[in-house]
Amino acid sequence: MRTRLWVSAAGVAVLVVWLAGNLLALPPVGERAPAYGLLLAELSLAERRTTNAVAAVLFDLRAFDTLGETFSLFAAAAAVQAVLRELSDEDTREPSYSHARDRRPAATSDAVRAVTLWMVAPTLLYGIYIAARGHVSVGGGFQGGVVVASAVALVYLAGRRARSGTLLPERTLDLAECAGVGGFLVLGLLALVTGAGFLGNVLPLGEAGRLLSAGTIGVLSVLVALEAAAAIASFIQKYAEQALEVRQEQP
Amino acid sequence: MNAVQVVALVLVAVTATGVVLTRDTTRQVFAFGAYGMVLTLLFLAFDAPDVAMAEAAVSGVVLPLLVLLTLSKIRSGER
Repeated sequence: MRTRLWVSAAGVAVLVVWLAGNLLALPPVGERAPAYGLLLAELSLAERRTTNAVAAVLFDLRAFDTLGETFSLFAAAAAVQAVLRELSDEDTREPSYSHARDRRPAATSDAVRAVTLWMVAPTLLYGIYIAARGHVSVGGGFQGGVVVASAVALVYLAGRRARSGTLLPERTLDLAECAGVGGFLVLGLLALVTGAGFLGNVLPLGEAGRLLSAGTIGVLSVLVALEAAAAIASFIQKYAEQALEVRQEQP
Repeated sequence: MNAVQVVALVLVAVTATGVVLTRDTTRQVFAFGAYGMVLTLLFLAFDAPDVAMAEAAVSGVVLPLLVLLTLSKIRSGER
């Protein structure tokens, strides 16, 4: 016990000294703009007509990485659906109170309902706005998609929607997800055909700052939004259903 | 480094410690939510609004909701 303590203390000491040394060697915050950053800011406006350099990196320069990330979200959604599928001996209804007589699900309080209900539509609109303007301003596909999905969460919070069936049909969500990742892939392959290189730009660039500009960047961003919104909405829906699902007791 | 950045860094350290020291799972969800909001501030203070937005949405809405739903499922099974 004593030895273990000494060994770990020595390790922690080395780590602290090493980290502190590296921390002091860092350039001061915000004082020296890295060359790569400056180049990106210049390139994204001149070459891709986007005013958001982050979007230019995500959906053009490193679009291949984003494709991988989108697919991992797709895989995660598929895994959740596989694990939380409805089994033949499961029954979707309210948890039977015989399990715990003193325990009843609390009704949604009026305070929660009053706040959440009117927030659903603005949240949805805000999510779409964020997703559609990723190439112009702050935001982008993933962020917008998550905001859209949180509108679904608000519906569940506002009422006891799950008791009267699912909010969005699973099939619709699946289709949206497939359209998202599939569209991303198809657009990338289309660029190959035109000779632009995988996920290169194939659309007219337009004028920087407009909604319809920056070529494929805006389109890819919206496709990612579709995938993210559908995947996260399906997580929320599956988990909410699962919380109300009980295993039928064997007779 | 300006004052806002220093405050954000200190808050991140404080709330992160808070998450680790919270032992009750349900409370930890809310502690983690607070940590996420502070991280959002940090990213904003360091000129990364895109990351801040993703962090706010994921740690403020999605993760707490999924964990709370899971907890409610687990507890409904307890006799």
